[in-house]
Amino acid sequence: MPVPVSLRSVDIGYGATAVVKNLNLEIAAGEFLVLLGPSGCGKSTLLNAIAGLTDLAKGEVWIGERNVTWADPKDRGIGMVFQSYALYPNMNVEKNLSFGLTVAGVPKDEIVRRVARASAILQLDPYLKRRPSELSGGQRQRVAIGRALVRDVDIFLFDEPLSNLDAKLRTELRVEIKKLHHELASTMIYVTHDQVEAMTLANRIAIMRDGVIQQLATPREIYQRPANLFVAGFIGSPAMNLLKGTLLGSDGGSLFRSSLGEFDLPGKAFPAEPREVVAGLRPEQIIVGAGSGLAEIEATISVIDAMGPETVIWCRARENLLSARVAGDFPGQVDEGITLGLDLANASFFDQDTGQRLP
Amino acid sequence: MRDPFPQSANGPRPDKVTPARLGLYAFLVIAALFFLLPAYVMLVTSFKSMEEIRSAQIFSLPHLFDWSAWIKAWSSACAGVNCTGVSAGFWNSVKITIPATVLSVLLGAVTGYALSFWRPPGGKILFAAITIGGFIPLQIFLFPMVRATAMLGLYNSLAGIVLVHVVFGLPLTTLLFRNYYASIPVELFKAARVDGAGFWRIFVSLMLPLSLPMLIVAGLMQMTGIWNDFLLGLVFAGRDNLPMTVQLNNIVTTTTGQREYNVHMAATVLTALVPLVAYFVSGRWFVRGITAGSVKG
Repeated sequence: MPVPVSLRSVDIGYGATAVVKNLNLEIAAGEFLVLLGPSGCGKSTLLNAIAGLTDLAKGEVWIGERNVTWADPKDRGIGMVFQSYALYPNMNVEKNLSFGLTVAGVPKDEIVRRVARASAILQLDPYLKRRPSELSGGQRQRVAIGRALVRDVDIFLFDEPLSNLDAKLRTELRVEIKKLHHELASTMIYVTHDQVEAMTLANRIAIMRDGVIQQLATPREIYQRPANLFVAGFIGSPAMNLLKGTLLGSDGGSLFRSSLGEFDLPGKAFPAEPREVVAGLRPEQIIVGAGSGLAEIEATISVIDAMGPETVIWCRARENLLSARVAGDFPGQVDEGITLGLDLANASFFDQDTGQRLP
Repeated sequence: MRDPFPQSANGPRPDKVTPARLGLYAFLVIAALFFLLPAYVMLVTSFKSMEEIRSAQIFSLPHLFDWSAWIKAWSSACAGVNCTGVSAGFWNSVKITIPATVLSVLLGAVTGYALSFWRPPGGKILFAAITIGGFIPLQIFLFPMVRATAMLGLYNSLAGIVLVHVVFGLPLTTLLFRNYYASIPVELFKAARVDGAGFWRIFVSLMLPLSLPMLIVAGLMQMTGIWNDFLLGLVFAGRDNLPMTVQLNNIVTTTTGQREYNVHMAATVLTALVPLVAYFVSGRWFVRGITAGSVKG
């Protein structure tokens, strides 16, 4: 049965060294929640607190119907997968998988049954007698996942599990974790600084900075409607294009005035008094070529990044460097003049002072 | 100046013998002789008869190998009125060294493990205190220690001398193990806790098997230190438990009658044999453990 997790007014660390401050987070039963943020933002500390490996300074942790704030890790019904795999080097794969069950005093035949099941799911059968040092990184991380799997835990905690793997393995194992979540339907909490992992795996992403959740939403919502400038800059590669300017409300629409010109924003109603803002445009919201019907500006191509299926071009327009996503067979050359259409109707606008999104 | 880019450069750089290199080798040879010559003299002397020794050719090989000095040193050399050789001391030393080594190493491992992973409140202060304790010359503790063991009723007993060795060994073993465990990723410990293992389970099933190199190093250091100890054995062991070093000293310093140099040499080599053999057997492990422990501090 999937189990919900609830963090209530959680503080971790004291005073000036507080890592997490007054954090509230409700994770639904069976949800795949990703904690995303730069290093040092408190996401791993938070995961350790859910696991019971770090004490709270204040607040409560609830798993299902139980207040587990003071409970030992073993009593919380959790399994944890670490970045460094943390396999027991002195035990073979089979012993690694069965260690938790042996400690818990599970009967022998039951241990054998559960290890066999986990090993089948994770395709570890050929490696059961090997030591961790004789396995590849991907195999090691599968054993680490299996260690949580055999214990039939309610909640899986992942602490940057793919960060030590090379790019190809990372993609493979990411798909396996997603499949595993689909099959088990367990609650999973996953810490990463990799936005691709976050976007592809999560039901919801909680973006953290300095111990505070900046936005908690679905990947699509976070990408399309970032709550503030930090989220806007953190998610998306290349990052969102940011244009400083002034926003003026008018009848039936608004006006955006920047160093690149004045543009109408039909259908966007903002308050009438002028406001200093930052407009955010995803690279795919900048269209190359005249006649798009969008707000058009002149620019010069300064860098071309060919990536295969698509190309990203970086264009200079006055003091701004704008990135645009174009087709893989884009014919342009560096230093060529070019017309860009800005899809301001779908752009995000942020207050320059607070960095918060304007509705 | 030599040309740094000669036209003929090809393949490995040729060895060059410089005066500095020669001086280095000379120093090394002298240093080796400095340690090897006394050992050689002791060995050959122990196989000589007293007559031959008196001929004053200490570097010559014995005319005929004579084992009698060794037998006498082991079983019948006299220390005062006590003519049992070093054998009694040997067995006393065994009885002191084995329990004291095992206990001090295991206790050091537990303490180091607790300080490293469980981080008890005040652990840092405790560790600092233990480390400082290890640097204070143990003579300072002699008198308090005598009083303490007397109060416990352990003065002049086997248990007493073992206890004293364990207490004085703990700073070193704790330091060694704490630093060794600091090099083990803390995530391993966390994983075991999530798996439900407690303090002793993690120690016995995980940390102890992982610390084999350090167990050997600490065990060897403790064993040699305790075996070679003279002062503590003299003060705390009591007449019936005097270790081999003390008995050796008693035999060698006996002033009555003629000095039997061959017996003295044999007794000395016998006393030094145990640590020597231990180093030969475990040298490879020793180096491995030393370097493993020193990676992180």
